[in-house]
Amino acid sequence: MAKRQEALSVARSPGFGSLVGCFGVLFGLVFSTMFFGIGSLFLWLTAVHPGLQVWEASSWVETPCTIIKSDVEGRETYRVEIEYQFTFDGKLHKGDQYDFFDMSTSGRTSKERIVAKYKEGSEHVCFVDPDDPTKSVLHRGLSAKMWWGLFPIPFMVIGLVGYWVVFFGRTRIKNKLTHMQNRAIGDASLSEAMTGRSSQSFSTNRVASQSEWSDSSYDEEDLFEEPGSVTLAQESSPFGLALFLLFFALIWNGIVSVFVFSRFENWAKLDLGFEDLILVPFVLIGIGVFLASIYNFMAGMNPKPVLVLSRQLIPLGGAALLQWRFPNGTGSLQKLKISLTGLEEAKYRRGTNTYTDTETFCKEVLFETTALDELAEGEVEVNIPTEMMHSFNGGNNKVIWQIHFHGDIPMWPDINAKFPIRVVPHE
Amino acid sequence: MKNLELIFAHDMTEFDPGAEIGFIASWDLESVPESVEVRLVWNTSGKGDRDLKVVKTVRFDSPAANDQKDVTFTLPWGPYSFSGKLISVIWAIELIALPGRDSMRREITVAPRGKEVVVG
Repeated sequence: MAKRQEALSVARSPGFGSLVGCFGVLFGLVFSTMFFGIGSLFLWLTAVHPGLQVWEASSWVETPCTIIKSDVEGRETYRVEIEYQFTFDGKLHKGDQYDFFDMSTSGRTSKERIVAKYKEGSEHVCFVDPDDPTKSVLHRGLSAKMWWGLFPIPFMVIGLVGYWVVFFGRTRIKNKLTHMQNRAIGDASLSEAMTGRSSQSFSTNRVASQSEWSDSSYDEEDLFEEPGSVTLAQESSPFGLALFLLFFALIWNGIVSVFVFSRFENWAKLDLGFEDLILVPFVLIGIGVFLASIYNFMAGMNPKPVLVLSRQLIPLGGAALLQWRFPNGTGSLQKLKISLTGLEEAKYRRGTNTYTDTETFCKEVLFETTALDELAEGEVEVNIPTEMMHSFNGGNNKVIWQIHFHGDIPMWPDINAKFPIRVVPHE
Repeated sequence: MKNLELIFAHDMTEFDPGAEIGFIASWDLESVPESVEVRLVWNTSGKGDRDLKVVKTVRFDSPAANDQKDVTFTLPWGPYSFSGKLISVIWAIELIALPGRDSMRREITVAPRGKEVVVG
């Protein structure tokens, strides 16, 4: 029974996606600027500026001095509080700079060692700027604690990655995904080309004033099946995920390690506090992500199957021949299962988050073996059921067909590769 | 009083892909519209955010406030009308009087033998 209702194409709301996109870009810029800006500021204060002072002080004049005050200051983090006096150009001057890295850090012991060396009343040498004797320092070289000055770098890297994603990555990622989807999934417009084009009684052009909700697009090469077979491309590589996880783990653990090291001396003395409890989940997440990256690196080293399909587009009710081989051997592969899978994918927004749900509507095992002589290469016929839905890409909603290649490897991550194929309407 | 109608022969709204369909678009409006458009559209419904595509459009410029026109569309080969667990693809003919928002829509089925593909 036909329903009567208002036209949906009148009340278009293209602004939502654009608005989300604008907010996304704005948020990305603010987020990246915060990380990069604050990171840069701290890098200047804690590493670059002290480094320049070290270089500048290399030409300062070595001058005898007397320590008049020497102590360790601080409760959670510590710094050396030191004062000395010296005579330069016949005038008495005072200085209070031990080195150029004037930052309170954890670890009282190292500061106590400095204080013990520079006892009150002891004679030492300091280095004085001949152009401005008010500037002087006791230790003008680099010190181990200057490594602390590099801790803002991960924050700057996060900011730079954010900028890259905002300015280049979104387009590249989107284009890459669109290209992959167009290669893998027949979009709805495919059908438009199959109608034999226009009829005289109507225009096939999109209405110029329209902003379509659907972003299904196609390019001409997707509309016609070229004769010959196609080598299927894997949906994603474990190496890509492994690199992403490793990158995340390095940044995450780099930041967390700053806090861990600041508590290290306390732990050595079994001096545990509430802040240590807060650190635990952060440390566990860091370890977990790092282990996940290792797992994916291992999975990336699995034997790589090459799948060749005898035709690029398979119509509903049609068939194609699937050949597979392992060019570099099967390694420790012990079991192989090749399946045909059809699934729905729905992407939806809730607030500022985007979710993707999938539902499998067809799963058929095409081939399964534990015989080692059948693993390395073979062929199987792929029959697409006729009473099904063809590949469809509406933008947010998709019907995806894929070959699922699963290999069991004992004591090692399994081969779990998905190869999208294009199923088109009936011939 | 405003009235928009899409009248199909024998009230048949189930079609094969690639079929040529004919129907009457009629309207009876309070004022003269700038134009009237008949659109062949598909949209999705279900869990995902809606995708919508206007596949074909017939535009009648400077029409009378009360008129009717024969319209013919050749349906594309896809996407099929489809209903799954997460998403549905729905075809419809929409009649819109511009620049106002007076409109109506009739859903049709575009699938082999005119039967919506149901999975899951």
